[in-house]
Amino acid sequence: MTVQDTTIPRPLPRFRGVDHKTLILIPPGIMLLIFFLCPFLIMGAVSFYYRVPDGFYEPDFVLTNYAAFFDPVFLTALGRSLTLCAVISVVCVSLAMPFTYLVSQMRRGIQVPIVILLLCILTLSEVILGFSWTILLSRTAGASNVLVWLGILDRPISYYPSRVAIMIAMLHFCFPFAVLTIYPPISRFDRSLPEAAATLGAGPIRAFFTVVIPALRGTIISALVLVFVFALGAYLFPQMLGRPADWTLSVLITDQAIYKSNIPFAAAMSVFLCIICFALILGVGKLTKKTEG
Amino acid sequence: MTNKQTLNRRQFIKRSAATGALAAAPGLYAPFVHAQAEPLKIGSWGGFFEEVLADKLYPEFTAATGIEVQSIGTPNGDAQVVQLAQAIRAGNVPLDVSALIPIPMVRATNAGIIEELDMSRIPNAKYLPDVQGISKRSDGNPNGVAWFFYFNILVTLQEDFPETPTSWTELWNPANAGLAGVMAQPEISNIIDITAATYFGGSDILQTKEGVLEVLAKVAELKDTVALWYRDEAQFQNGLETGELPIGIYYNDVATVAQAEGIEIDRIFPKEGAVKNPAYWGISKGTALRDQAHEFLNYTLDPSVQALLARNLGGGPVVPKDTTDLTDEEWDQVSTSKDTIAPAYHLYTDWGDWTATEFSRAIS
Repeated sequence: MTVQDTTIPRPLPRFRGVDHKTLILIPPGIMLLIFFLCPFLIMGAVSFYYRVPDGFYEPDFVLTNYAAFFDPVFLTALGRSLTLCAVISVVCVSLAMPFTYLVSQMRRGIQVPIVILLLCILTLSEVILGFSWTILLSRTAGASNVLVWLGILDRPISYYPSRVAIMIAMLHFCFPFAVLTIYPPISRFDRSLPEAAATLGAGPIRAFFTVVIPALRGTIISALVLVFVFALGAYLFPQMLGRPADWTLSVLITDQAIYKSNIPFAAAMSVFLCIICFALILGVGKLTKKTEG
Repeated sequence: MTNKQTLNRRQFIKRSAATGALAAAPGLYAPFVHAQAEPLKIGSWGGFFEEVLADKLYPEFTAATGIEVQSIGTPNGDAQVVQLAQAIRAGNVPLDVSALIPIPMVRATNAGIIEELDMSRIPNAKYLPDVQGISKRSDGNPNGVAWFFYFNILVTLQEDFPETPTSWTELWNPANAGLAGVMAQPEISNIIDITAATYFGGSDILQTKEGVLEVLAKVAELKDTVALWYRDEAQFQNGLETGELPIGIYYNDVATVAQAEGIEIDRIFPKEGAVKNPAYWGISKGTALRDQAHEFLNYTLDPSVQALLARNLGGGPVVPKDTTDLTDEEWDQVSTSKDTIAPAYHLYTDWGDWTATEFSRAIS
C-alpha cells in the first residue's frame, strides 16, 4: 500500500476581508435581486392597487383583488391547477425513474444519443408541441384514423379537447426535465448497493424498489417539485387542448392581464399561486428532512 | 413593438409623383408640402393590417398631401393602450395616431391619452353613419372617427355544410357537437350580443345584470358544440383548414382572405345579424403633429380612399355605398346591407370584470 500524498487545502485568498467564495456569490445575488425579487415585489405591490373599472389601475391599498379571488370560478381553477400538476409530476417522475435507471446502465454509446434526443425535445417550444398534439389527436388527421384503418374504430374521432390530451402533451413537455434532473445522481449511484441486495436474494425489480428508490429519495423529491412547479406555469397546453372546464389558473391569469387589463387582479392571483408553491416546496423539504432524520 | 420604416419606397413614390407618374392617384388633394421635421407616426395592429396600410394607404396619403408617415406596428387590444398610456405619461408620444377598436378606445379615453377632435377639420366626417361612426367622450365631445367596420360572421366549411346555414342557431345545433370554434373572450366574439339577438329578441335584455345572466345560461349551452374557444385566429384557421372545426365565429375580413387562399368556406351574415364593430382613429394627447393627424383622419374618410381600403384591407366602408365606386360584388365581400348587431359595450367596460367572471362561470 502506498501512502497517499495528502495536501492540506490552502485557504482561499481573501479580498479586503471577504473571501472569494462570498465574492463569487455577488453576481448571481444581484441577478436574483434584479430579475426575481424586484419583479416579485412589484407584483406584490400591484396586487393591492385599485383597479379602475373602465381604465387601468391606480396606486392604492385595497384588498378587493384578493377578495375577488374567492369566487368559486377561480378557486376551482386553482384546485384544478394543483391537481393537474400533482398528477403530472407523479406520473412523470414514476416514468422517468425506471427509464433513467435503465439508461444509466447502458453502454455510453447508447446513453449519449438518448440524452441528445431528450435535449432535442427541450428545443421545441410549447407552441410547436401544442400544435403537434392538436394534429396527432385530431379527428381528421390524428391517431384515431390509424385505429379505423386497423378496424378497431368505426369512424375517426377527436381526442381533444380533453383532460387526457392536456396530460399527454404536458408529460411530453416535462419528461425531459425529470430525466435530466434524475440522471446525474443515478449515474453516480453506487452499483454495489443493488449488487449487495442481489447477493441477499433480491431480484432486480425488488432491488430497484427496496434499495435504489429509497437511496435516491432526495433526488426523486426534488424532481417531483421541479416538474410540479414547471407544470404550474404551463399556459398553452390547457388552453389549446382543453375545454374551459380544464383551463388552469395560469390561463385565467393571462386572460385577466392581457385581455382584461386587470393587472391588479392578475397580480393577486399570481401572488396566491406563488405562496401556495412556496408552502408546498417548504412542506416537502421539511418532510424529506424528517424522513431522512 | 416592431418599427417599420419604408422611407425608400416613399422616396421612390415621391419621385414618381414628381414626374407625374402618380398623377391619377385616387387622392383628390393637391400635393402640399408641410413644414414637417418628423414623420407622422401612425400605429396599427402589427402583421397584415400594418403591412397593407404601409404598402397601400400611407404612400398614397404622402403623395396626396406631402406628409411623411412612419408606420408602426402595435399589439392588439388592451396591451396596445397600456403601452401607449405608459409612454405618454412618461412624456413621450410614440404614436401620433392610433387605430383602436371600441373597448381599447374607451380605456384610452378614460386614461386621458386621446385628444379631442376638431370636427371642422374633418369635413369628410359628414359621410359617417350616426350609429358607431364617431367615438365620444363622456362629456359628449368627439375623440375618434370610425375608418372601417369589421364584422363577426358565421363561417362553415362547404364540405361539411353543403346547405349553407342562415342562422346563428346552427352554433347550438346538437348535430354540431364538438365541431365549433368561438373566440375565448366575450368582448371579442360578442357571443353574448349574438345570443341576445338570436334567442332574446335583441339587446334590451342586456340592460340589467339579471338579464345578462339569463342570456349567459343560453351561452352555457355552447359547451357541447364548441370544441375550441380560441385566443388566436391561427388556431381556428388551422381547424378550418384541416376540417377539424367546420363551423364557427370568424372575422369577415380574415374569412375573405382564407377564401382567397382556397379554403372552401361560406361567409354567412346570419338573419339575426352579423356583429358590426367600428375601428377608430384616435389622436394621441400631446402630439406635435395635430394638424397633420387631422388631415390624415379626413383623408381616410374620403370615399375613394374608403374604396381603396375595402379592396386591400377587406374592411367594411364607413361611407354610404353610393359614394364609392365599389361594385355590388365588392361591397358584399366587405360589408352587408342586412341588419347588424351593435354590441352592448357597457358589458365589457362598466361591467367588464363582472361579465368576464360570469362568462367564465358559464362556459366552464
